Amino acid sequence: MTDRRPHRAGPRPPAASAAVRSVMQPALKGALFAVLLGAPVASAGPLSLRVRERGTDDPIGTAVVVLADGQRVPLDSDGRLRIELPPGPQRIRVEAGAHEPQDIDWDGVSALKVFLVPRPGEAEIVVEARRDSASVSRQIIDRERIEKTPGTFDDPLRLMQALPGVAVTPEYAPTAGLLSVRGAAPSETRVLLDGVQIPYLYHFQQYGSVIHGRLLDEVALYPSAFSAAYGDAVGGIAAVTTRRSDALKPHGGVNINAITAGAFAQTPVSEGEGAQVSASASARRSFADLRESSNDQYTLWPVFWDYLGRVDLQRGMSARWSLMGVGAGDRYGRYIGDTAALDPVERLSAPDFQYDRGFHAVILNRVSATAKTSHQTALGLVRDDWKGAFGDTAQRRLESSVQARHAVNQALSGPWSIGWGGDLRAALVDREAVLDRAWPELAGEAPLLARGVAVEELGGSVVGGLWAEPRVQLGPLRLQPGLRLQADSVSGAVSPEPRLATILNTGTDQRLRFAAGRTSQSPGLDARSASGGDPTLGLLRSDNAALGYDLAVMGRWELGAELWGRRFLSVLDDDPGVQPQAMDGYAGGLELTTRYRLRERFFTWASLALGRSYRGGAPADFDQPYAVNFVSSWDFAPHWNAGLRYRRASGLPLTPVLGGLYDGDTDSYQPVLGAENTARLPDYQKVDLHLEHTFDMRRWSLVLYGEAWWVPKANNAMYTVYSYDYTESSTVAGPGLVPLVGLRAEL
Amino acid sequence: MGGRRFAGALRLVPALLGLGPALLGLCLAGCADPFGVERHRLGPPRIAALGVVDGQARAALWSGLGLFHDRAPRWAWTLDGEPIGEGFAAPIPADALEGAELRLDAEVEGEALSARLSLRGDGAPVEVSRHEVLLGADLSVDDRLDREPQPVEVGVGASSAARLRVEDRGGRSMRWMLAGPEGALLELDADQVDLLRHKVVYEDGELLRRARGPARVYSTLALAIDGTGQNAWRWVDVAMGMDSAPTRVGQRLVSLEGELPEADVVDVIVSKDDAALPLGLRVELLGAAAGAPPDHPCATDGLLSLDELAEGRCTRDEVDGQRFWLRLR
Repeated sequence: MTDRRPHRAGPRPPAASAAVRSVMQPALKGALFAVLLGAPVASAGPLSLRVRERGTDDPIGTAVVVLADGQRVPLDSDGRLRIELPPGPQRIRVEAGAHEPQDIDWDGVSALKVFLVPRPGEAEIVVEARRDSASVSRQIIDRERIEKTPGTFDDPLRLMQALPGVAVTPEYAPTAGLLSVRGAAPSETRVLLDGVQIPYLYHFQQYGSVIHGRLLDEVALYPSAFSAAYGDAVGGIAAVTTRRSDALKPHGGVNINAITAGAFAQTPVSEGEGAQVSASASARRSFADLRESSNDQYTLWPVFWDYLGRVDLQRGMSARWSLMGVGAGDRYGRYIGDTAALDPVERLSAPDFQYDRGFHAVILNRVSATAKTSHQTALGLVRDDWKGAFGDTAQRRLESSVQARHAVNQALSGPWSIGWGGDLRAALVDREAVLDRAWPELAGEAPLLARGVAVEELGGSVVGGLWAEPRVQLGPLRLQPGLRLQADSVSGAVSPEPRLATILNTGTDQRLRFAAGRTSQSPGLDARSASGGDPTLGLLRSDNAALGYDLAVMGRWELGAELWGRRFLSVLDDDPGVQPQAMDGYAGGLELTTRYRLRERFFTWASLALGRSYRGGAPADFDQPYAVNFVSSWDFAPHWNAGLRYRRASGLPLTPVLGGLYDGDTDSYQPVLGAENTARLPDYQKVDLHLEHTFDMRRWSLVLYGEAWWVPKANNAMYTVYSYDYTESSTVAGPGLVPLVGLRAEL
Repeated sequence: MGGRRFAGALRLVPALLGLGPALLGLCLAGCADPFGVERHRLGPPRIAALGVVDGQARAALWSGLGLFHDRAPRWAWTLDGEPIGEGFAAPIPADALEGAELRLDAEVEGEALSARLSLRGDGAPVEVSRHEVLLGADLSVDDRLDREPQPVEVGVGASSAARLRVEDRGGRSMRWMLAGPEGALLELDADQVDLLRHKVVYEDGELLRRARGPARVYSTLALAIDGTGQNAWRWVDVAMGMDSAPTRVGQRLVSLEGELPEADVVDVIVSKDDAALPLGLRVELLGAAAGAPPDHPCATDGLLSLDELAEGRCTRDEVDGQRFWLRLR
């Protein structure tokens, strides 16, 4: 088996003779030395042959050498062969099932190293809807789509907003990295990394994800009515899975773009009879701060970094372990307020806010399986340190958590099976804020300062659930009733949460799906804090239902429709500037999707999402009546790939500002607000084009890509700003056209 | 204001993203059209200051026209929601609690304006002195601090700037506002500001250009705030580049027509004059004040306050052709 990297272009030309590298120097030197000494030159020697894949330098252990007499000699697992042959040159042929064969005229003396070019595989049609899942409402982004979709800036997690049900937000806007799923607030969707919650997914909430894209394997989104295996989320679940190193030899790569430089590596460590050990690592850092340390906006230029290290251990075929360390950090300093409106003197005295946040996590995973039972276990230790300060005003929020998740799937007799398990998250939160007034302008960066309440408290919480989900297949009908018992020490509540999922196969590649269930979520220590929170807050709840239909026309072209609805009960209005309060709401919508995919050749998907979301009688912050997404990627020629991504969506709601109230105490203005969320930003649309060429060298490959991002002027609104007295407003626009060039080199 | 306005500071816009393609000169970090109003310049009608003066609620209502009003403003004063008056000044009830919210809902030149203030009582008066300073091409704070100012009474020369210095700030913060579209105020430190005839345009903190304004009287409003509601303010005029020096009336400047007598209080007749901006009035000197003071609702003990005219106590029509006293010193 060779390690086939999925970014490789499709059809390859027949092997060129240049692909054969004769390792002749030692032999020639020997022969020349023998001639000079007058000794007879050896007329024949053993054939020493190594066969590797062009571009990756991976050994091809499945290769076979066909000798002149027709004899077929297999190579060893390292792609090597040493064999005594009759004297004299002869033509040999090297074959391997997945590669173009090569004919070689061997001189009878030299050692050979042969690079075979991968043969274009048969086009495999992928029908996503055939994939089985305990959650019948699910969207998947796998590795191929992660790596080939344009507009992600090497950052696959940005692709989640291309999935139906996820609100499309303007690129670069403060909301850019937020995941609002089916009308829920971003804080109501949990992000799990290999089964463990991590504090944040994006650097600076928006720029790029904290995981190196090359070490991601799959991103699964469960937008609502998910399986009983998940809880503590009234929105959705985003489950991010990292990639296990399956390299037969060391692999690695470097990548650089205008902002970040990074590298990753994967390598086998040992391959014993009973255990295989491999390791992966990645690291990235932004480098803009190395060129410029500050400007008139930033007193400390933004800098971020992340790392990931992972060791995999596989014992036989039944048990697999992985231990991963992952972390990220973000830091910058900036003036509070609009520096464009400040005098030079005011600028000197303007508060210089220092943001510094980072997390570290250790995650242990174990997967084991027997013929009838599989176990999945995740254990995690996470430490999130969130600091923000200027002068004597400062906040620090330090959260340490221990997390555990275990899931078992057992086949029972006949059509019955069952899934069961539990999860637990114990957290210790140390909060400290020293301030003399509220700083709502720091809402996204220092929520304790934004809230404006001095606090010094240490609190703990335990949130967990136990669940069971029997499944029965009755002919074309699968029934999956479930029950989850969710408990929360913060509110002291235990919530029984019934779930139901059914699938009715109505024909070949046709199925009807239905799921419903209640989920709950802890309000969290911050919201229930006696200092600035509301200690009476109870569990947040949502009741969900989804009805879907999938159809694969001619077994390849997928069409899908899903109608969904949810009711929010006692969810939080957690505007950082005010005390949190509970409110009810509802959301509903229809998602239409279509997909077509030939693995490693072509994929396209499109979706139309229609929906509304209301909270407390007003449109929710992420209420988006429509969103259109289109993504396509095509390996149109050997080594060439082109991609197109288009998205259009209604603008997010905003509360109109009717005017300003002059505050004589501070000689400033407070906005006079109209009805909540009754205005909107303009519709947003963006086109991303991608063109990529892969240069396969013998031992490595170089990928050169260019992208062009275009946002029409009329649709380029990130947010609204107001004059000092709120009598005038202006829309802040992002870049209209962004050309990008990037390089990736991989060993 | 020229060009596009960099708006990244208002949110954490990923300025990072713009670094690479910034070579293309595009607006990559978040841009917005410039606003037509700025808080250092008294533009459209506005409540420029609010406070308690001599135990009465007072506000400086800027008409947007100049240091006068052509339409009588309307006031509605409340204290913690209870009405306390509808005039230019509203007496604070003796039993009013400190910290109560004083609110003003006003209509100025047809525009509805609102303001609030924490009730703390009178703010200590603020005094401002004038100085002349010769500035160079470099308008940076450091360079301006190196320039030596000379005290002046009325105005500065054609090539000079005026440095206004507050003498009794007392820990309060100063806010400086310029009346009219010309000129520029460049703050120097917590106590001082430089007033230029030039209109100065900055872009991203860099001086883009400056255009010289006309030689005339430039007016500023100096507001001292302590953050708790004890505010005080003062209008200050400076003659810039004028051949004939106007006469000081307190901190204000008036071009008096007639021979100035040796008296602190003079008798004048005022009339509307659209050309006499920013005052908007022509003031004819009759002589030294003598006899009974003029009886007019726009005057107190016969004395006309130019500051009160600027703040909306009376319209120009109400004082047009009327006789008043003016206290010169």
